[in-house]
Amino acid sequence: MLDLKHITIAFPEGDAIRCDLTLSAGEICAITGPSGVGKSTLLLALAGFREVTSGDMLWQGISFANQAVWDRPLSLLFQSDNLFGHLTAARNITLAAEKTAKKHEIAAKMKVITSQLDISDILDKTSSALSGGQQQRVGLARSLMSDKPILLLDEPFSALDKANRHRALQLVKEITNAHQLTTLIVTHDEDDISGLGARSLPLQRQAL
Amino acid sequence: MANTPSARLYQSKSRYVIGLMGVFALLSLGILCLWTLAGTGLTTALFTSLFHDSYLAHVIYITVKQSLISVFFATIIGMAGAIAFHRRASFPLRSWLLLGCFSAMIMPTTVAAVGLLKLWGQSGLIAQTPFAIFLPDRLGLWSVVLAHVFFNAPLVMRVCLSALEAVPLPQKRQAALLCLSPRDYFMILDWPVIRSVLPSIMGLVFLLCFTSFSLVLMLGGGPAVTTLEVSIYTSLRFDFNLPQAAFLSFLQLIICAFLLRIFGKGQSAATALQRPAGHEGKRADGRPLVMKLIDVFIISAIIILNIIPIALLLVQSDFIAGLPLLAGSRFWNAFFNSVTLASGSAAFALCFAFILGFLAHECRLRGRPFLLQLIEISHSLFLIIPALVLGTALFILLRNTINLSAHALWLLMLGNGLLALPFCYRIIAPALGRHLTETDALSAMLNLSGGKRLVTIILPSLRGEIGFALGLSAALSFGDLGIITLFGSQAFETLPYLLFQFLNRYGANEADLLAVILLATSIGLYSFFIKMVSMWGRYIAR
Repeated sequence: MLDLKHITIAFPEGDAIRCDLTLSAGEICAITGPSGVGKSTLLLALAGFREVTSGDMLWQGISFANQAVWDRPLSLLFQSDNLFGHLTAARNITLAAEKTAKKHEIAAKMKVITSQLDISDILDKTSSALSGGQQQRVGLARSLMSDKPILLLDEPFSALDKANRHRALQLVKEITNAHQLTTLIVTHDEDDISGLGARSLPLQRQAL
Repeated sequence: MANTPSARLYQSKSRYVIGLMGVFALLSLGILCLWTLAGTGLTTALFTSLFHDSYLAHVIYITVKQSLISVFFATIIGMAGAIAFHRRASFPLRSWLLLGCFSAMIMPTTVAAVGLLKLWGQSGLIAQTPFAIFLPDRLGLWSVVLAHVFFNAPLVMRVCLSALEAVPLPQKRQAALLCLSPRDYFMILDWPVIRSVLPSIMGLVFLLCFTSFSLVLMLGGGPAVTTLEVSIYTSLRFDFNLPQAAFLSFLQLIICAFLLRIFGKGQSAATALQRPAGHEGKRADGRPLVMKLIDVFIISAIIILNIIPIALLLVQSDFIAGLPLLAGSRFWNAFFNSVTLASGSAAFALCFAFILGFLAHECRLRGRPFLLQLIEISHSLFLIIPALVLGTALFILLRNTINLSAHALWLLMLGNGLLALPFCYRIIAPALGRHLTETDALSAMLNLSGGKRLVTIILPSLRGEIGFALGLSAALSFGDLGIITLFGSQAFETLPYLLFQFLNRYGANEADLLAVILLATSIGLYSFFIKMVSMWGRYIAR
């Protein structure tokens, strides 16, 4: 269970966003709010790329607020540049598991995940040669390979056309269910939220 | 865009004509210099000597050897330094150390030479420690290499650091989330971007070391360690052998053009002129203890190489003993000449950079790709003509026409201005082109054109670039010990020339004092121009 307790993130302008949230495994939460409110900032703070002014964040009752970025129980997917362009899709995916698993385990796991995400036939291509949608699916595959229970998605499909975005969101819904992930996704679109069957967490700035 | 109705609306006949005149003047001067050198030096006898003269073969061998060794060490140290500084983004004093290293870009070579001797010289700091046994008996080649590494390792570091910092932030964040090992981080993120800039920056460093003059003259220690540039100088100044000087100049020019063609110097020079961007967060590969120790070692080596020589110059020198120098008119004449020369050269280079920049924009509006290439050639020509080669050509060209020492200031201003032009153009032209493209329509609607648009819109908008270009050109020109060695005399001296004279006559205290004054004034001029232009721009914008 992900527990965000009284999280406050202050901005130089003198205001802040506040957030209290509890999410179970298999649940999706959509973070909404006007542009510039701090939706991406909240995800960056959860991942450890930005400081939290106060509050705590816990996974299964254990705080990870003071852990290094790489030790936190989460993976994060941005709008773009999630992959290393000169590496093949396969190498991009296996990077997430090389330290913790043996080669044959990685190969077996990758086979399952890539067929689930329908990217088995593009694994030998370099990432820069893939389409936007394919790149994001490879990014998702890598997140699944890492075995991290929390998935943070920072508008990862906003550059895709409507049909592709719909397919990608369905995929997120499926993998959240199948892998019992706890997923937080930043989105502007009400259709996305209803399509995902997600809880909504509207953010707004408040004076400190 | 070219020649569309809207493009025709934005064209300006006057800036097109002025630009054409500017390109014509630069090309004419360049061709005249080449013609003069070819006419004087390209004789069959001299050409045959290329294959039979053992001294000439030795000069070329030493020039290439010291350049290759310098490139090797400058690249290794610069690359390692860039990665270490990138990995230690929150390292205390990081920005100050980087500033100290990058100041080598505007540091006069004479100052660096004095500082390096204080650390590595036979009576320097290291010679007084047990490590002295590692120092070679005669510095010669190694002192030249050391000086070249002092100047060029920061250049390589700057280019590599800019490249590392240009990696998209999401990729850096993914690398942190994936906790890449040091080896993986290097192979996946660092090496691909460094590899892309390495050939051009190595080529540029090779070219700079190959054409090095003042450092070799001051630290080479005699004919055993010399370069083509120094040979040109001795041929002209001591042997007064004009054909040989011209021949060597031509040889040097051909080799430089060839190297420039191979390595594509412009791209890396432009990268080096950009300020490194910011950096976020810690790198996962910096966690292991062994990586921390490696980074401490690399950063310490860079401090020893680049910061300590200058610190020793400031700390160890007996300035009081050198003070009587300031009482004489010789110092003040040299100081005044240097400041006038630096300001004049910088203004000259900036004016031509704008003239060529405007013409480049006109060429894009009018669809003149050939003319665009001519613009590139007209300023790049002075990138491949080393200072001394240009000086030699001017010397041969004008010695029977005018009194060279009486007009030394103007000749130096022209020479140093031309040498600064390629750098100035690379700072100004891209920003000017972008600005004009963005504001052409608005200016046309408001009927803003000519001088009014230039003064109220264009110059204030580009004040950052103008200040940087002026400051860099002035600092480069102020510390130059190139063309002045040909035209300098008792009647006309500059500060670097005066320092060189004192070094040759064992005037150590005066040389130390002059080195510090040179350093302070170079930094002062650089900062002054940047600050002054910025203030002026803000004043106009009100």
